[in-house]
Amino acid sequence: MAVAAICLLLIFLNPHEIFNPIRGVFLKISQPFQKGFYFIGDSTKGLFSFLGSIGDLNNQNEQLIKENNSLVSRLADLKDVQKENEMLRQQLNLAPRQKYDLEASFVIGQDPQLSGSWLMIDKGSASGIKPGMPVIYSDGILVGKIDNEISPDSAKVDLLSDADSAVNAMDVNTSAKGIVKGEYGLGLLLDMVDQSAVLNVGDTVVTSGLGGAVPEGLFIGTVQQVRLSQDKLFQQAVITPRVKYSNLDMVFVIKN
Amino acid sequence: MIQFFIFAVIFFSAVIQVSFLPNFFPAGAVPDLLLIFLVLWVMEKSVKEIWPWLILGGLFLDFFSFLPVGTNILAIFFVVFVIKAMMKPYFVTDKMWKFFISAGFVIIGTLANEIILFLTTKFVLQENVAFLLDRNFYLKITYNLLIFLIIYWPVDKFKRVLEFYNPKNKFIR
Repeated sequence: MAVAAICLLLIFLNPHEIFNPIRGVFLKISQPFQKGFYFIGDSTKGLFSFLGSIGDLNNQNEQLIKENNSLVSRLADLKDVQKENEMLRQQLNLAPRQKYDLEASFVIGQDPQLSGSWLMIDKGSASGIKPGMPVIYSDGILVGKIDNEISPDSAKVDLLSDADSAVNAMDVNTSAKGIVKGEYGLGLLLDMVDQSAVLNVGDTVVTSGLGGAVPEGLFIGTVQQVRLSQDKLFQQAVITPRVKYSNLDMVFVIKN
Repeated sequence: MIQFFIFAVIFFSAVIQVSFLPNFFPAGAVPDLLLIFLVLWVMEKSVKEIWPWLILGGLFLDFFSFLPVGTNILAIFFVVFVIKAMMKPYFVTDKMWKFFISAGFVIIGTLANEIILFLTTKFVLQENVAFLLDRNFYLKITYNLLIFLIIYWPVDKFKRVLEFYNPKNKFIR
């Protein structure tokens, strides 16, 4: 009973973040081990997939030779596609990655207990990481924001799928605006979309930049399903994220 | 020396649970490696003997999982007391039965752990109350049993080392 009472008291005191300095020390000590274990796990997972695919390699090789021949002829077309891509990027307001001050970070831990709502990265306050900074993957795909839990060498990233996550977003095809919320690690929901706005399955959803916390034009996902909210006041869209958050190994923190 | 060894096992179990296992298991169903280890250990020891290690294990999980400090400590103690309460009627010496009863305690431990985590974290977040219907909950039990199968015999050997650990025995302190 005494343990339960003390624990409940501790849980109650936690919102005041009184344990953050101690947690920071523990995270600093454990960071190299976490990094090592994450890499080992990531590599082992890759090795398992490789071993599982050996049987298919011969067939794939023949297929690749054929594909290579056809790709040579398509190479010429790609220059046109590149131009088109740049044009589309401008039209869709997708942000070019070069314009950000990015801090590359390795993922060293994930939420093991709840619904996969956070990641831990190997960069922290010593690298200029601050709470609220957006975290992206690859070429401008938003995955989450930096949480308040930052130590000098590590930081917690609240994923978009986290229940408390909320990011202003827009449908680039129809300009419908709303808020992307996490669904307890299960997926993303574009909520608070006006009834008069148009949402279509397959539309692209990006950050709108409203509020200024997250820059505009970061890719979030595509619309999978459109429905009305429970109170029938707004439209909602189930969003399929572009990346599987549990498979991330390297992310970039936008510092500016 | 043995205390350092136990500390290392608890520390690395927590680190592996947070940084290694999520690579292989879906989010929300990552096995509770440290909990399984503690469940197997507490079956051989009284709570009075190992309570500081239970607190340490919970503390590590709280720190590495970014949960409020106390959450996993409470969950671990709850699991331990549930298991201790159920253990007496099922005390057996037969190895095979011991294995199956241990597996049963891992399932009960997982359930008890999820209830406490739900009440202290998810309930606060007003998450769906029907977590028992969540697919991940059943996946977690399955994966915990899988990890139990992998570590049962190594931990059984490890327990023989732990037999030498007795807090009352001053010369090994």
